[in-house]
Amino acid sequence: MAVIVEAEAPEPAVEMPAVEMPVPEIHVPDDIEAEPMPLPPEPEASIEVEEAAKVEVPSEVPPVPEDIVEEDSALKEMADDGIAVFDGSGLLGTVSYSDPGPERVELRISLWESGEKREAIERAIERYESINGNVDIIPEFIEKSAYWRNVSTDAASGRLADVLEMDRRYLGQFVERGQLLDLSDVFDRLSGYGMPIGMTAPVLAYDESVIESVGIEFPSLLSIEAFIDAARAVYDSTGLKAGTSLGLDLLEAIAFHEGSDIYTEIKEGRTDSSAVFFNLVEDISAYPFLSSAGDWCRFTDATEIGEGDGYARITNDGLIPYALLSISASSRYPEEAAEFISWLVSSKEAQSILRLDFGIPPFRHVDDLVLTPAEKRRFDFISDTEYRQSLSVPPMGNAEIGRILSDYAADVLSGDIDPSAAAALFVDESDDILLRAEGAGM
Amino acid sequence: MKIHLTLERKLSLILLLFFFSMLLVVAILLGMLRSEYDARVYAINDENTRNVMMSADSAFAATMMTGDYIVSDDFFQSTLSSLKDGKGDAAALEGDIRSRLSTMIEPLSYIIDITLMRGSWMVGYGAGLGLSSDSAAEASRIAREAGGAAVWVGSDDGCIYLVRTIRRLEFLSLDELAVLFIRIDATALADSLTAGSPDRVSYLMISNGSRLLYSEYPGSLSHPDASSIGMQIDGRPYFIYRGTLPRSGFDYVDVVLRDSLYDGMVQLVGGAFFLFLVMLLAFLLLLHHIVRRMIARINALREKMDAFEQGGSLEGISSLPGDDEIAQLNDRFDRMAKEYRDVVEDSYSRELMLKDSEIRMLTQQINPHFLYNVLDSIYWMSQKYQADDIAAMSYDLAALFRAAVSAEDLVPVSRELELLESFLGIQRRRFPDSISYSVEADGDSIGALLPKFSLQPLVENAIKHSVEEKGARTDIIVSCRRRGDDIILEVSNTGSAFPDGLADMLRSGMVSSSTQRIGLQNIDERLHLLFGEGHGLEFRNEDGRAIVSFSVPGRYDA
Repeated sequence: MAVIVEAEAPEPAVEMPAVEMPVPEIHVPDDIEAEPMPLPPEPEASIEVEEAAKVEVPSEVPPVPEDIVEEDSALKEMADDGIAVFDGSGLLGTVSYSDPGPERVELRISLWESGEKREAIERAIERYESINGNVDIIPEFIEKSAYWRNVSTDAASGRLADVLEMDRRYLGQFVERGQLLDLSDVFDRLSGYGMPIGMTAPVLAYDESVIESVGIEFPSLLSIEAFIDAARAVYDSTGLKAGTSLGLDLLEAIAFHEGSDIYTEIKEGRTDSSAVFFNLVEDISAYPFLSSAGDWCRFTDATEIGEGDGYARITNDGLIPYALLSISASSRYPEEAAEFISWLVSSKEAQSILRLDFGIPPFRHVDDLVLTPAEKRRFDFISDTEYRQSLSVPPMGNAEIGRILSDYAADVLSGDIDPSAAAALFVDESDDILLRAEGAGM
Repeated sequence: MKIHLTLERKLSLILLLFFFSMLLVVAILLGMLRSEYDARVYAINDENTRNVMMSADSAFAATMMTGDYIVSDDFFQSTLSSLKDGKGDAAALEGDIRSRLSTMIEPLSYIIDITLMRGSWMVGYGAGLGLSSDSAAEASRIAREAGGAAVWVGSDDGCIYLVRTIRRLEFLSLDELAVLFIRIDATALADSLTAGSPDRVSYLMISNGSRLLYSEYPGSLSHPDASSIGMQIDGRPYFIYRGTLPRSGFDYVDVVLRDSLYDGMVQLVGGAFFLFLVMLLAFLLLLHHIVRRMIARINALREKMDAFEQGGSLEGISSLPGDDEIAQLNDRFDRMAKEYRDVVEDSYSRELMLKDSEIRMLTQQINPHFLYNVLDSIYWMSQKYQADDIAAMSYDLAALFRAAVSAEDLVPVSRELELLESFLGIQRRRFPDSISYSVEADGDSIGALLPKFSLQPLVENAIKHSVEEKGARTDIIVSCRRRGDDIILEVSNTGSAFPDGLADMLRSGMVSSSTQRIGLQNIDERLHLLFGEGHGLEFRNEDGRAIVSFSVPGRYDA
């Protein structure tokens, strides 16, 4: 089956973000650094990805011996009267049965999606299975908080799912450990390690009715200052608190905004961006109109924009891939996995099921869809988002750094530690993590 | 072709056929029962095996989960990482590991040991690893090849091991922290298969893909491919149960010696069959005895009938006791025979009486008594008057009449010859020189009995037809000879001839109305009456002599 991958993606999606891989030091093929995420082909061009030749179940089934294969002579000495004689600590040998029936392709897919996104994926899988009678797709939906631990354990146990939902924070780690398949192995003219179902963008989504009732103009391009002004105004008028996002994303954004890179700063022992972050945290702790959850607004991505939501672009943030799908290097059915992913990201059928729940699909245009108001907002917002080259894949250990960042932020918020000390400790420990992460596995 | 069999043989044949039919029916029934019973025992045992294997499957799955837990658990990750990296107090860390393992093992009875191994370093809790260092190294190698996945290996001490590498999860380093061995005692599992029936002889084999985990299988048995109810191995029937466990994916084959499942059933069925045979045999013997008795009674009846048919006595064989149908038949036959005898005897005696009266009447045609007395007087008078001829004639005549009035019917030949002498004495005086007479007699025929006055009328007849009618001389010869059992008496004379067909004329009664030859007819009838149809007068003319002869049975006075 030749899958037509249409290049006429919606305008903004034409340029995909280049995802930089961490600098590989060991066991990582050279091309990791250079290879971008799977990109849609050039605009206006339509290419055919010939997959049929590759999506073949191995035709040759190993011959099945008829007779028992006994390697242990002890077995032969067993008494005829039914009493088994166990005589030592050697291992038993092997045995062969004649069998098995026609092979069914079983694909496991690990995802952290929930709610509507999970249901959409399930419907898509159901549809795909109905088209491909010999394929069983077993989705494993894992709660986001436990997702990486589970997937890591799967990797350590040699039973990684065939298809994994990845994000940029962990992608490097998995590529580095050779857990993911280079997509060029299964796709012609495509390379990289993950294929996004859709492209989205960070956003501050807010309740339009609240802003309207307060009677202020919410900026469409958000700065920290503008956000604080608006939050104060809403609080003064209604008593509702604004939500915050004091995570690694913010710290990365601060560093990026300053023309720096937080991981470089950590390696160099500099606390520039970290200090700004923790000072901001301290400031926020003083503001009564902010809370971590938020009553009327939340930092999220464009796929979460709902009906009645206003949205503001966060300064300097560009397109990000949503639901990056990777194929495990240990998959028994890489071609079938690739075919499924290809169908999911490029087929009209999948698109009619997934719609814009996962952002704008990079390999399809959505002209056929009649959009709901909420979808229209998502579409408009993502369409207007620029693609930025600079968004990088963070180095291994970034997830652990994110965890200690949250810990220190909580300490600063509660006043247990002052921002500068927090920044120093954070950078010191993060450096240790990066060193360990780089040295890990050696 | 008709085969004639006696009643006894027929009944014996029927009994024999009945016996073998019963045997056949019982054998077929037993066969069907056996087949049905087999199917049920097979199904029940299948269920039992499946249940035991399912609980084993749960144990395997739980072991798998234990392995997963250890691999992903922060405690093991951090302590093993510290031990590998040489951080912290190794002894204390090992102690922590042991105590953690102990809390994990204790609730799981089937897991008898958990050991963590890295190179020569080893820590564990339980019954011990139970593998030689070579085997442990081999198992570790297999686990490493599996890339962290759990592998299962079986040892030849009846234990099954889950082996997997514990790899560092931090930063997805995936370097090996230790090799985990979880040891399961599978012999307990096999024992639980025979828990219900201690006599059960079975060989259990568990495999995972191509890897053999547990085997009681003797090398001499060929390897079954599928479940089967009647597989013959070395001439013995086996039940084969093969299945795949749903959770662990393990395959199992349980080969059960069929007869071992029957416990005492074989003896029970054998005993019942033997008892049946004995009872059937006893029944047949009893039946045979009854039939024999019945047939003996029928035979007795038949013998009686034979005897009756041959006119013998029925006394002594007429006792058939009981009141069954045969006895009734016997009684009826007895009554019938008696009635028949009565009728026959009655008519026979009446006929005899009739014949006797006829004979009496015939013999009384000569009125002897009066004549005898007269002749006696004449004799004495002629003696007185010395008339010798008259005296002699009257003497002879008296002798004749004396004989005629004597009571006996049968007299010896010698006596008859004496009578004849008296008769000829008279006739010679009547016709002097006209009659010559001689007797030829066998010594042993002289005492034989013959009817009185059976020769005299023949001689009288000869004289009458030659001397009296023609005035011719006659030569008379009386012969008396034994031939076989009979005595042949013959009178021949010259001077006359018998007419042709005289015998027939006598028997048809054509001469009886005239006085001619009446004497001959009398003799003929008497001979018939006394000795039967084969005895009578025969006439012929030969060499100028008229010959008349008859025979009598050679009987003698006692």
